[in-house]
Amino acid sequence: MIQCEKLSRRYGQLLALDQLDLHVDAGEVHGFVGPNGAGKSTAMRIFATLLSPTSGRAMIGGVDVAADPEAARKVIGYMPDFFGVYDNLKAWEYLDLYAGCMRISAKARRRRIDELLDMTGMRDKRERYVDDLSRGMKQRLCLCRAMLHDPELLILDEPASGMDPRSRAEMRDILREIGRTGKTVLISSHILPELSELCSSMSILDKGKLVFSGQMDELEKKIHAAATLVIEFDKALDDAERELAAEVCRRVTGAEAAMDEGRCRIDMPEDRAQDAALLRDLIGAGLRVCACHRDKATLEDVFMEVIRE
Amino acid sequence: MMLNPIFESSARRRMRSVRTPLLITAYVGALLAVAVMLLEGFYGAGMTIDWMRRSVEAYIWMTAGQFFLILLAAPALSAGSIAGERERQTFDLLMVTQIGAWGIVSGKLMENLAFLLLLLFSGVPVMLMAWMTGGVSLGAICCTTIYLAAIAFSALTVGLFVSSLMKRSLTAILASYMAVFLIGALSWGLAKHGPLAAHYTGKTIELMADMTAGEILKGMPVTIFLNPAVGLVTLLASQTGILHRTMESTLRLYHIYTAAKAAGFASVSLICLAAMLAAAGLLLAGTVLILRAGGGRRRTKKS
Repeated sequence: MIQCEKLSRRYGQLLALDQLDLHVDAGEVHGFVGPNGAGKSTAMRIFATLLSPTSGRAMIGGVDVAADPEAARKVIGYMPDFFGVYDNLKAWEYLDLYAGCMRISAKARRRRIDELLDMTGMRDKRERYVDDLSRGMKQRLCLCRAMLHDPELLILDEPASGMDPRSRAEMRDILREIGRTGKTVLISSHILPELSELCSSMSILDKGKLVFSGQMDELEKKIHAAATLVIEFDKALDDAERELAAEVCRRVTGAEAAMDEGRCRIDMPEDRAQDAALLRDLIGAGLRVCACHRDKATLEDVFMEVIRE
Repeated sequence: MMLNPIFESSARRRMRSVRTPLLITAYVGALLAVAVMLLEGFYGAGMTIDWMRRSVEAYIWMTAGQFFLILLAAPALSAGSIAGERERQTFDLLMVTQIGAWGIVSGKLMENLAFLLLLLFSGVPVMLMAWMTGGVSLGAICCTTIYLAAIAFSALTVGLFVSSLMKRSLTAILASYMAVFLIGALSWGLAKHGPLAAHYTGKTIELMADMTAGEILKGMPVTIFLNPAVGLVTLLASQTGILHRTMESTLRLYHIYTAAKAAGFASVSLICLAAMLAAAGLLLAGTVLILRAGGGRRRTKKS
């Protein structure tokens, strides 16, 4: 669905997007992650035909967005990270305006607007003035606007930004539903756990460059690979016990353990057999183990790690 | 046929606003005040030549009032339209739809023109007072209203063009007023110091009697035809024939007036109308091209 080759965009001296190569298959929910200034919005605005690339090419559904923006717009639904409002316009009138701009006939418009308001749980807000809606409701309305013409690709730039946790959860549910309909969704967000729940694949951008792109399971492997085993003892260990525990850990896992008063932490890949052997030897050495768990790295940890690399 | 959705939505919003009826009331009230002031004492005084002349003068003043009100309102209305979309952050949302640059520009133009026409037409009953007192014909009032509508259309295109280049409404409105003022001043100033001064001074004016209308028109400076005031004055002159004394007060104006009189007031006003509409067409095309080329001044760069 999205295919871009060596896509670059320069603002004067600043290279906002540097030779981006990206491939997103149809039906995927693709997360677009990166710190501020990474080039996410720039890339999304190029895909949405709002910005021309300085060099390179972006294809959406087989259409070159720079060469044929009108054809590309039929395929794309774009929701930016801001919400533009008009005074004195009701929710359905707001959607009606954009449906008209999408060349949807008056009869089909009514039906489509009602469908979308139902889908986003906004049916009861139909007659409310847009100005009076909460931020969460405005974001939902904005999502309805992006979906009016039933696009194959949805480009959502920070769809949950500025929303309270409850609205974010509701938005996440709506997006999950949209993902299930088989639409391709490109979604950027700073809230990484949200993306990990929603997305089937992900790209990480930093300083305009693509630093990671792949399926979520690849990223999950990285997460699991970076897991830390934590073993807790029933009391604070004295120096001799600490030395003993460190020695056992070294012997069984080959890794150095970080010891504090009643706990030891070992960075090692997840391996249940090795975990069992370690616990057995620690107990066998007379140390009283009372708990054992793995501190898995979060998506944020992996993100920071990838950026660091 | 589908109505332009931008026009449809804007008209809905405008008519919902409390400002609209207030503006129309103020506009008609101002026009009525001029009419009442000039025609006061007419009724019951009997029909005399003097009173008929007074009603013609009232008609001219009302037309002049409408002309200035249009020049005041049009840039403010249209200059804020595209720049206002940028300010509200709705411009990008429109650009990713199927409506295209022409759809946006025509929608904005229709929206503002419809409102100005509403103002103009609501003033027509007041203008008809001049007809009722026998000063001017119904046809003359119709022609003047159409001419004023053409001026409104042209002034709106100036505002739209400026608006397509600007990011903020206020800047766009100020720049539009400046552009309208410059068009008036330059078309007049260039005429004063251009070929007109050379052609129509001294005895040349006396020689005009021997020239054909075409020759006189060719001798007139092109820029003067772009001045909507010239077109309106010549139209009023062709309708009423009483502006001669008023125009004498300004020598240069008199020269143009004399030349236009010799060439035929109606021809000059028609040429002015055509030139004005042609310039408006060019401005519209320019606005569309600017939007197609990337919307003039874009939103500030983001990540």
